[in-house]
Amino acid sequence: MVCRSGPSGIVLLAVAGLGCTGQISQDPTAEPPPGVKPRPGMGMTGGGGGSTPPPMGPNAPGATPLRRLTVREYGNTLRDLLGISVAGRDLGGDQDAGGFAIGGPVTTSSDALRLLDAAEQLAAGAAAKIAALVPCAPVPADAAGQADCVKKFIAQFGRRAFRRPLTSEEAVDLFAVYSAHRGGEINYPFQESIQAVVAAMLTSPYFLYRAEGGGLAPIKDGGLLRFNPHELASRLSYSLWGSMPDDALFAEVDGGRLQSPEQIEAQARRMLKDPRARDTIADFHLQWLYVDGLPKEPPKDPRFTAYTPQLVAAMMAETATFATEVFASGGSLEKLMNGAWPVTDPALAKVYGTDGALDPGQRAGLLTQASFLAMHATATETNPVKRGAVVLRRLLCNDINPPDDMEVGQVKPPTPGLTTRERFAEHALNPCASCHRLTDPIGFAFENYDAIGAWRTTEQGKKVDASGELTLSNGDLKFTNAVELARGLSTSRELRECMATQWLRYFARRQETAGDTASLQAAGEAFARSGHDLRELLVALTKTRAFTHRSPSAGEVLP
Amino acid sequence: MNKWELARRDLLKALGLGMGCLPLLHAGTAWGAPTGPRRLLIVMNTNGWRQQYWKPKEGDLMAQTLPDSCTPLEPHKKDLLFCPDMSQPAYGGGGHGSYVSCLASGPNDSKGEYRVPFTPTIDQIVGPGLAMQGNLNRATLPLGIQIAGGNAGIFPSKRMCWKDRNTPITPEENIYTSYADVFAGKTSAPGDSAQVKALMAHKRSLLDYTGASLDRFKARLGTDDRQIVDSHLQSVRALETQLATPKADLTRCGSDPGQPMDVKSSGNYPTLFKLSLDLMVAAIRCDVTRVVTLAPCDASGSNISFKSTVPEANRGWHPMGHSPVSGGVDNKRFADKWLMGQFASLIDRLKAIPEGTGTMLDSTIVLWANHMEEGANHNSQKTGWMLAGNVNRYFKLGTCAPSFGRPVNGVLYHIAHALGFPVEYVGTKAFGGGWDGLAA
Repeated sequence: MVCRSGPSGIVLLAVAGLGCTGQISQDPTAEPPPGVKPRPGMGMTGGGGGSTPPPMGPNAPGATPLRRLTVREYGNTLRDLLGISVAGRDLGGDQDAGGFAIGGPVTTSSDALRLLDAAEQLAAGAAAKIAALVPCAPVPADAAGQADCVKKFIAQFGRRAFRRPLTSEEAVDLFAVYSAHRGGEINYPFQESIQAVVAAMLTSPYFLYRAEGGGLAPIKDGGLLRFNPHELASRLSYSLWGSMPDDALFAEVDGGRLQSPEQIEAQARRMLKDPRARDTIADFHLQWLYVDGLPKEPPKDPRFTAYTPQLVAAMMAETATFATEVFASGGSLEKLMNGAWPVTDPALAKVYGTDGALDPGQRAGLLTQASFLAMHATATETNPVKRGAVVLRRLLCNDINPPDDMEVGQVKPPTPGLTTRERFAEHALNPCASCHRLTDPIGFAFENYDAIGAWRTTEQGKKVDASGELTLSNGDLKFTNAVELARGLSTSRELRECMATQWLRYFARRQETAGDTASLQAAGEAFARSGHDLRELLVALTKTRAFTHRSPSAGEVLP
Repeated sequence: MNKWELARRDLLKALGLGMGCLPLLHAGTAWGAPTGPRRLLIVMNTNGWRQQYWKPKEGDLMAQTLPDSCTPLEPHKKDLLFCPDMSQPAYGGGGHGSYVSCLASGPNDSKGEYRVPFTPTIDQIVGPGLAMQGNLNRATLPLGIQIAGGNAGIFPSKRMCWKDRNTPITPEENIYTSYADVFAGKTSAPGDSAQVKALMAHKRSLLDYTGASLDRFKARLGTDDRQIVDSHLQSVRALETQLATPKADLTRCGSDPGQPMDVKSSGNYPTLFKLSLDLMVAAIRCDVTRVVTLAPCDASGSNISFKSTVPEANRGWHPMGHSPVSGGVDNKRFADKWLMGQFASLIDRLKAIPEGTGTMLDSTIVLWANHMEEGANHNSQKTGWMLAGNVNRYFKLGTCAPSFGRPVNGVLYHIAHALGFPVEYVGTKAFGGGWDGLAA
């Protein structure tokens, strides 16, 4: 019996699964259950909670939910806008959308205060840089001359801060901030008043949100909306750099040269060569495999004294470096899954038990790196469920869910004489089997790695059994360990399709919809034509409708 | 530009309260006068309770000795209402996901384990109205301890309070930031100095600009996106009102939290818990807000270790939930007992503060909740909650209620009613009404 079949026809471990559900594509446009009004909840108010309209076809991408810049995007944007660092600053947390981070909503006065404080302090900290950007030197002595200078500054700096030209109303509002500071009870000097204008811009929703569709009108294209060139520039820069557009990209927009797929492609290729893209590639892989959540605290277990915050940093850096090197040296998906890497950190080398090269029979590709293995374990024990589930969800896009009526039976605690595999065997016998027959056999493949990723051949005095079998669309995959599992996955249709889906989710920060099918197919075909070069996948995605278009949101006021 | 003054309508907006709720504000004040303003404190725990050591017998608590885990609560049992074995029909499943929608218990997105609620949680139902009654500018004070990270980054598992589906409430995990946010510092400059006036005018100018920008920004957005911007705008307006109001004096309501310690270190967890409970009481004592929520964990407690907190527990909250017994010792039982001790200490604090003819507990509802039966089975359909406090003498205290299979919505419904909000239901209408055995 098949537990879940996705659009790619994936058939995972044909087992008698009862109740376990998985979703390859979760449709965020899905309506609440019939008869349920989304908002009331307390029997006294109504309204709100609207959802996006249903997709119009396989090439009608979903709506683009409004989202605030992530902490990383905020920092990168400030770096590129003002040349300053926000490291160490409390900017509030991100939240998840489609498995990747988006900026958390502002829901309390504390959130608002955090943003206000950051804007004020960053503007003050960048005083010298802001002064250098003021388009008048020396500053005119008279008020009228200063006012003209400020208006020019607002237009020039505002265009970069908002990633588009300001409207006249916006410019007037910002000038009012200057005026309020220059006189009255505030009575700041000229430069401090300019800083206040910058701080105001940094609190603006046009700076804080990915406001694609906010300031300048999107372009109607049948039933869809096409992003205008400024919006496209932001989509490119935040997708590939996690930051604002650079001058070259702005120049393309201004010159009317960011419209055709070829023009978008040219910019995508240019941007992928920029060092900022390396940071994005690292960020994707850390988020994709959830490695960015690796606990830093030592487990206080004598077996794992090697696990320190420094080791965690080295683990994460290793994964980030490996992924970026794979991209820099051909972008091969197979290499990402099977490739070797040099171990440069001495503490990490100790965990790997090597003083140089890694044994390719033990380590090959991302899934055998300590970061992945430690992240998907408990602090002191391996966990086949976690390791199996993350492979299913993040590499095979099978979003398994526990059944509604689940009651979890106890897994036997660590017991002398019992291996982890033996302890978890109980999962296959009780009602949990419907899901765990999917997760656990994949997870068992990683049993050669302990809780922090060190190689082991025995556990509790017994030989580790990391063998298993997985049925994929191109046949049965038998493996004796994680290296073989990863090798099998690396050429699977399921992983290739899932990579396109995951990068789409990362770019759009939303779950894919049925309307993205054609875009995913087009990107997948380009990916295949390139011999599964991940760089070509990224370029192809930027040319798809899922990147250049969106559906209108429910309730949106259209131009 | 907006004017630097807040009309009643503005304050309502800042509190996130629709005009449709206005009648309820009056309804809230129409009920007899309690000894102090009505308040709500919520602490949401995870991984359930070891039932055999926690669950009292149904009926009169005074006629029984509480089970072992509840020993710390023995002196307070006449002030307690136990509600064991309640169902969560709106969630319907098991696992950790019930944390996310437990306090709303209405329709949700039905996606995965961690389901985003479509309806507001109880703190958001009563918080704005209670604040309005006191002319306060802070609807709720959301606190958290060591929530971020862990649990494989699944976001909704980090949020237990929601305004609506698009706007989860982010708890402040740095207790020192919360203290500074709510209470005046020791070195505050005099409020009437020219420098302070200029600084305040500067902040007003920026917030006015932000508010106006948000107003314009949301004009063309779709419904869901507008909710996000509305929430941002309300937060800015609330901040405006807070900045216009002198901060409360901590020395009147509590004690200094001391030198800041690492809020992410597991070794500091007991201190952070204590400081959080202190702040909960201080905040309502100074009437900074009337609703405080504390998330001492995320949906699994995977960040929390009891190793340095409870020697007999000596493990992480989550693995201990799954496998409560290790080496023949029921570790989880001791962790539960420690948590009951925290609950008792919160009651102690409230009882120690005279108010009118009674104590602060007489005007406060404390909901000490858990979203699961127990970690070992991950069942969310036999949920055990405890209430303390006797607002309006509403609840039938000193009782273990006949609550088997009853929806948690009923408790939320009765909390709303006790606080003066006569809602028809909380969450889903079909099972969102009250049930017998809770109200006196």
